[in-house]
Amino acid sequence: MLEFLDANLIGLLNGLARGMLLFMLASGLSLIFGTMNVLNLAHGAFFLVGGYLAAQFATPSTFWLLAGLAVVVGLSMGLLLRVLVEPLRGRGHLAQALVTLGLAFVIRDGVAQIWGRDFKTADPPPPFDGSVLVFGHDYPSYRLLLVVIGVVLVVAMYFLFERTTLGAMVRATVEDAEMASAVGIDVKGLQTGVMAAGCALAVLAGYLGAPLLSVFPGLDDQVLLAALIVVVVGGLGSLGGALVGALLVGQIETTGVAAFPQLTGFLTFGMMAFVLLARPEGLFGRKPS
Amino acid sequence: MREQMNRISSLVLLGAGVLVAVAPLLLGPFRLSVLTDILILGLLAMSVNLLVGFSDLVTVGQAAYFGVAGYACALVSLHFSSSALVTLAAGILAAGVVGLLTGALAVRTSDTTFIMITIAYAQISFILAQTWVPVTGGDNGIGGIPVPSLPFWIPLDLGHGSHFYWFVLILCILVYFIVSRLLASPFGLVLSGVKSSPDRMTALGYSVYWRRTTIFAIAASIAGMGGALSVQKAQFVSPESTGFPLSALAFLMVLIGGTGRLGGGFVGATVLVLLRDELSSVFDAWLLLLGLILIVMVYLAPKGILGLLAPLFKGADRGGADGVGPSGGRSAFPKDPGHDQVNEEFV
Repeated sequence: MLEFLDANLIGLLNGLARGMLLFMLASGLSLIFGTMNVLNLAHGAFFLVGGYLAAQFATPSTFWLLAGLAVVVGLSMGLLLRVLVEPLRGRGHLAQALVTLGLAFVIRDGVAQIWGRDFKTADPPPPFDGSVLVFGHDYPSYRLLLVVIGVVLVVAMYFLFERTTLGAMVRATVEDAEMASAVGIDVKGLQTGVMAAGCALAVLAGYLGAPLLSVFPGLDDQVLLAALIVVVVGGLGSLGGALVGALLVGQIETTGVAAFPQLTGFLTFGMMAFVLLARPEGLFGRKPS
Repeated sequence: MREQMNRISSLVLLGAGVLVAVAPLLLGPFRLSVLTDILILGLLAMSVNLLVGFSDLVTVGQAAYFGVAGYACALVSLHFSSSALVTLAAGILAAGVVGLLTGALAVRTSDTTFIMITIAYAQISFILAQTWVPVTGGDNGIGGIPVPSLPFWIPLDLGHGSHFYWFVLILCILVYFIVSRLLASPFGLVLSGVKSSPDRMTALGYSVYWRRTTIFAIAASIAGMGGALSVQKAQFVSPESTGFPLSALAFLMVLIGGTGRLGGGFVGATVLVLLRDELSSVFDAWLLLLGLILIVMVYLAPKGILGLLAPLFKGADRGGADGVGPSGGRSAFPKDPGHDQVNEEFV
């Protein structure tokens, strides 16, 4: 066991960093679906926007300032999306998903028109641009930072949703929007807030992920598919499920692929098909009544 | 007034039909090849429509069966027989069997989970095509497929662009006819009941599961017919013939053409292929435009182009369950508004 850990430490840490990014993306996707019943297919495009913000504009001195800007951009995109899907209330999942898909196409091609189709990268900001020793291995410190940010996010979300009144209201809305509204919760306001926050998380994830990934038009599809897999494997609307799913997919995409290179791409989808066929509602989802 | 409108629209339809039939005499080889591709993609779109529009099974993975049939057709024509009918049958059969097996698993789920499983099928088939090199040739695909031949009693030479077009056209008409008969049959009526109110159908003693599996397999074999024809045309098959992008394109064709109307797939295929071919030579923002079209359509034309045109062509497209609607007598059950609302709110 120890030997395995030692030999695969780098891979496991990479998987963890990737899993945390996926969680940032997937938790928003899951919450938006849970509270509003909207499957946001533009989530990957929002991630892409964040990536380009980092790759095009961030410099070592402005990295954290621009991270704040990424959050603001995400919040406003969330509000825009809210305005777009509002008239489609009651037309079912498909119409809403299609609008978000259209938005995804527009954003992706829009950034391709502005910044071209080449691969772009961003530099990690100092002091996280070097590497540190982890159990005798050199490891890029920015990735460790991502893991730490991810853990902080998980803890913060746990407290927000399990220990505050606001969180309880969101959970009530996920559970039963009509009942929540009947007991006086401002469901519409809450939905707007969740949508804005979820989209902000997506843009921020792209921004923070840029030093790790190459940014290009097409990255949006990759991360969207990964996030969708995370969400359905974990169970739609369940944050704990999104966390477990993200860590699982993160590991499969790094450690799994390193172990079975010839099965790249097959592993994630195979895992998803296996989980869903055994448990259609996802690992932590509840059976539809 | 209405009678006059009907007469005009019948004339327009008749004219369009004649144009489609004599297209090889009017178009150059390149345009004719594009038109053949449109018909082939139209078959794929029709199979998507059968699931999305008529069975409430939203699939974004139908190219999996297009690809399976393509490879089956290629392998049979290389190793067994180059007869067009044999390789076509092989493709349809392979897609149908794979569709039956994968469909039986997939229809146990619904909604978003079902969509994700179909996407997974498309991606898995793509990766299999890429990595199972001894059989599929990997990224290089399978080339050198002989020109398909027909038995002597069919006077068509498939090496000829125009003859191949007619071959495809005849098959499309045949499939259209068979599927519209199927939808009007008792099976089709039960299917439309399953679509509008699965719980009620279960209560009446029908097996919703088997109806869904069956229609999934039928749709897969139609997609397979498209896949086999595309390989007979290109004499080549590669992983591009399967996977998520092609599946998503077919899905969009149905939405743009009109879900729940049998002709919708062909209309959508025409619009998307022509737009893509014509526009990509002018400017490269094809996806941007597609996105805008999608957004506008959702608000202004939720039932697609055929939905917009439907009032003009009353009775022209009888295939659609949506076309007859709640007041039409052919739907097994009028749509149950209460039930649907529950679905949208809570599922």
